[in-house]
Amino acid sequence: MSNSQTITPLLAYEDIEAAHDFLVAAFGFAPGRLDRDGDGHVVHGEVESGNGSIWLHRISDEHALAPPGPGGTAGGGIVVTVDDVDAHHERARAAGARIDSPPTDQFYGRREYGARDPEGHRWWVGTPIS
Amino acid sequence: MSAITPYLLCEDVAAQIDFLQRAFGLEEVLRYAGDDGIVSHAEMRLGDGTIYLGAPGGGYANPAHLGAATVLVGMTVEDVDAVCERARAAGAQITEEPADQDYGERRFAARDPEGHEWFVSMPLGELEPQDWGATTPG
Repeated sequence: MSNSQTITPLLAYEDIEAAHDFLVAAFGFAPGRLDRDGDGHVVHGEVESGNGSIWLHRISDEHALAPPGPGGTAGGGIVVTVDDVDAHHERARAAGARIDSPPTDQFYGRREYGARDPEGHRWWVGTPIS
Repeated sequence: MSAITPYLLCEDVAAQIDFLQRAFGLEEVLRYAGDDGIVSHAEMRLGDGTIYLGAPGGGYANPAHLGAATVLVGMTVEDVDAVCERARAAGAQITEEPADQDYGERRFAARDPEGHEWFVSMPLGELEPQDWGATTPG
């Protein structure tokens, strides 16, 4: 977390390295750090957006933190604001994201689609309707 | 380039707004209630950071009922010990007392009534030479 970033979302993943690569390929985040233990296993990862990073956290019993799993119930997710939601949707779909709902104009002023990543985390991606 | 905002799903958004104000000092930006008066969406702010709260309705069960959280929110504050006491007084479950982390932060962890977990941290200042046993001339 940089000093200027007051809020940082963390998502739990079983395979942090695969999640990092998926989020870069499917959602267009910039690659971030991947920290490895002595055996070369990734124990912490980050991807970068325009307003800060997302931390990819290991499964943690002490913090009762675990990924939803495919089709599982998520306790939340990440809302992403982009310039072109339709192009973003096509890229995500091509990369294998599960699309919950296609890009749709919402009454609250956003054109938005819903997707899940391979470990079941939920993403809501939208563009403000001008 | 994209911008991100964490979204926490809650069974009782109105109660969660109240709790997060009391516990962590988050400010309410807006709330939306449907015709039934139930708050289904809210936005809160800490400094330049924003979080969204939502009630998905239907058969949703929060992390407290599921036994595991899938999203965790990290917050950076100026005085982590003071925020910890405030959160404790507000009824947060402190799952990890404030402690210096080896990556340069002092942090505590807390669980809110919906079962969402929070990491609250502040950067540790750069060490002075005397702090680690060095001396400087004069």
